[in-house]
Amino acid sequence: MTSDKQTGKAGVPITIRQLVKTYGSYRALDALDLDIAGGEFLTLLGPSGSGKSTLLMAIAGFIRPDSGLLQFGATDVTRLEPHKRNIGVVFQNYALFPHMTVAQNVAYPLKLRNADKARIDERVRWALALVKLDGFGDRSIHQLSGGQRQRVALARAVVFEPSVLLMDEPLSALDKKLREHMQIEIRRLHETLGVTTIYVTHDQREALTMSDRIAVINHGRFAQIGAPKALYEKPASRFVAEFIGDATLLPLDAGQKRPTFRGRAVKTKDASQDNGSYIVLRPEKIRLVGKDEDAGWNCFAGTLDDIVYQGESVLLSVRLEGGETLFLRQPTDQQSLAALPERNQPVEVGLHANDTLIVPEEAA
Amino acid sequence: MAPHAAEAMEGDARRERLRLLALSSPAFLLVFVVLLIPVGWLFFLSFIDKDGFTLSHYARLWQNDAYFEIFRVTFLSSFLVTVLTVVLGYPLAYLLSQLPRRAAIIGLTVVLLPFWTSLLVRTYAWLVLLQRKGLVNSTLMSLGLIDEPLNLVYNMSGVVIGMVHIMLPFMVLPLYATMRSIDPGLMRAAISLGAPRRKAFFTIFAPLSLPGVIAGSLLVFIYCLGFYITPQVLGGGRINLVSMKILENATIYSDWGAASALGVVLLVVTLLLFKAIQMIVPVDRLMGRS
Amino acid sequence: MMDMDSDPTVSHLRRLWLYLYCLAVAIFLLAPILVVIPMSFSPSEFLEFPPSSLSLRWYQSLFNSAEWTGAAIISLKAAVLTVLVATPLGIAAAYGLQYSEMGIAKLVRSLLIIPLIVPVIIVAIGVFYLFARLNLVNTLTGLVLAHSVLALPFVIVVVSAGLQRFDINQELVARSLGASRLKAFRTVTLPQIRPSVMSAALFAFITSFDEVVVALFVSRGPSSTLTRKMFTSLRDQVSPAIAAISTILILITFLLALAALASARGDKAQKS
Repeated sequence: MTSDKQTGKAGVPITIRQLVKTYGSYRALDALDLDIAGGEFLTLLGPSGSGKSTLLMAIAGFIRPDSGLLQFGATDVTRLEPHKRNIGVVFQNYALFPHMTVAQNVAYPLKLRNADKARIDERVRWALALVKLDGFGDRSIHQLSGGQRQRVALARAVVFEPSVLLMDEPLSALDKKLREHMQIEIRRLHETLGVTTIYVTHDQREALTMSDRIAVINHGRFAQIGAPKALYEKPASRFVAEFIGDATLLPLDAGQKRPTFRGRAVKTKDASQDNGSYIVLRPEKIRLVGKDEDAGWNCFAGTLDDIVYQGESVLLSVRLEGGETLFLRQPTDQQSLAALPERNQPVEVGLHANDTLIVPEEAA
Repeated sequence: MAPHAAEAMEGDARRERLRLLALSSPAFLLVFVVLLIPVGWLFFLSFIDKDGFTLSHYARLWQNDAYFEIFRVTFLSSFLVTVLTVVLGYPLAYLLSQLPRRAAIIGLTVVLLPFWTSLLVRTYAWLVLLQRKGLVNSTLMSLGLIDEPLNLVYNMSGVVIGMVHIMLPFMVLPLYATMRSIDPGLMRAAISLGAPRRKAFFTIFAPLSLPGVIAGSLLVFIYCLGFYITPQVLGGGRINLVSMKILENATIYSDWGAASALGVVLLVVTLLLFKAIQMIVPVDRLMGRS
Repeated sequence: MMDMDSDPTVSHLRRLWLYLYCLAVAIFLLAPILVVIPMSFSPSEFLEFPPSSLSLRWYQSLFNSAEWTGAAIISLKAAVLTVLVATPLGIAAAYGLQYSEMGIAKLVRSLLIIPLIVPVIIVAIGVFYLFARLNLVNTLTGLVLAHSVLALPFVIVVVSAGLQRFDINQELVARSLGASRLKAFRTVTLPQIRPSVMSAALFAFITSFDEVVVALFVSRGPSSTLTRKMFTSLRDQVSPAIAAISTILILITFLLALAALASARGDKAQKS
């Protein structure tokens, strides 16, 4: 499942069973079960308040769960103190120690492990080289840019070869360009080290880019766990479909054997999706079609409401006869642009049967 | 491996919380033994005499005109001092809050320097300044404003002047903190909406600074109620306040019942007023000196 | 941040009355300090301002007086010991109460702040009543215990404020990196709240050194503190010797404040 087996360093697998954390009557973690393979890059994705950070802090040992089991490999760490867990943690605000230099920050975990001076120097150099900060050892934290601080935090978290690396929205303070660059760097670092990594984010795009698997969490429960493509293409519920990627969900007619929308049968690839209650329309999966397109399309009639030019694509909004608004993404090559209808024109929006996705309200 | 039962985990969490709480136990023990026990004891003493339970100590406070006069003077002087510190402190805090940070820090140093200076030194200085041949009288006379030296000390005016000086920083600091936190954009917004500057001040800035005024006033008032040193020195024994009467009852007459009853009344009034402050501004904010 | 000085709608001239008023208040605040210092250098038996000539007569008589120097030493001892008692206790309490999520922590905290609110005269007679039974009256131990109680709230409030500004994630990171809670506190938290700790210690020192009322009750006769002795001699006569002591005290205050400012600034410089 992971690409780092070739480095020969397998990370520690993590087992989570029936993990519960309540605050008063609020269940922040609602009996969670999760298996993470050794060396896997797993992302916890969810809206704010979903419980993703609570879970991460529980794995780190800073939050004591009310009950349940947490295992690193074969070791039960549920009641172990954080400093005995051998984990590296990277926080959103980096939490670098401002009263120490870059090198002292990175050396800190090694000193706690009573490493000798030569070994510390060697490991610090190695870690700084790993995050491409060679020669920055003597700098003060205040002299670093945001991206550099991020790298120091990473170096400090991996220098002692932790069995698990935890990251809590580590890139959210960076601007978009730097963030995308760091996503690749972190991915590369993970592949080099092969350490089991749990990454928390609320940014679905980041989750899709970086992860081996994504665990979507909402109200303290997993909504779905799977590989990025599986989550995007086969969301298990309305929540996942809406949270990952852009989508308009249209409710199917109730009480029908086969899925129908406003009385018209919805064409699907196979009968596997008959039990859902919403049809998912993603902007890049639908397009404008002529009135008499062949039988493979589901068509929705509406009025072109607005055309927004966004550079790499044009976003069209179409108001359906029932009042719902659909969004379509069209390429910006000259031919496509020339073919765009005028505003307020009647249009037909088509969704091919092979792309047709129907989701239930709740995962089965 | 089976999941851990809630009881065991609960125990861990509880132990950790208790360990943290236990860190405060030496401090708590000290305050408990040296302050809470004796004050509780005084409370007890105020309700007994040689025959057992009695309300006579309190009855005496109520019936004796001398005690009434002491309370009247104590509250009057505290009130006067509070009003004067607002009058002197508000414009100062306002100006400081409008200055650029660096200039404000210099200004605050002027406020803080006396604040850090020994209370006794300041009291002594006022005694020197205010006496019949003191600097204040000689200056006023050489300016021709008065012919006779004024009696500025060993009376109410001396007590009030000295106390205002001691209390002014306690007013200016919370006022300054409150005013600094008022967004200057609000005043500009009011002016852009057509309010004349004066009107904008009274309708926007003044109401927003009110919590600072109330908190500062209550703080000054309760400190004044129990003040001893400065009024004792500058009043020269002619101004009798509650604190002096407590001391007198306890040390001169060894009348612990009377001293305790007075102390309990003073304490209750103080704590009630303090509770009122806390509802407006938490104590940490009042102390949040830069 | 913009300030009103750069606001073109108000001219300095229109504010003239405000400047003058504040100048007057500032003079009022500083006058006592400005008057006492020159008077201490007067050779005269009587207080005169400005002094007709300069002399160190009163300083000489102070330093030659065993009574005054003895009282000063007692005050210094008491203040230093108060710092040593109140600061560690206050730090431990502030830390524990900040992070213990128990409901009772709030109550404990307000009880520890109480000495700040209780009129000091009540503390004084209570302590006197207690110490009389424990044979602690007129002992340094008793004085230090009482002063530590008075200093504790300052230490707790100042250190708590420091802890609130401190990013506790740093301590979490240190613990994840392998430090026990105590080790994380010592190596990461404490170095960073040092300015708060210093000013807390300063508060404790001044609280003790400047305290009069409790000392009036529990340190009498040969165990008098400096301020207590000043207070009693103020009742008898207004001698320039007091001006000399006052000047020394002002100087000490000034130096301490300067030191505090320098340490705060050094800390800031390190940060920016």
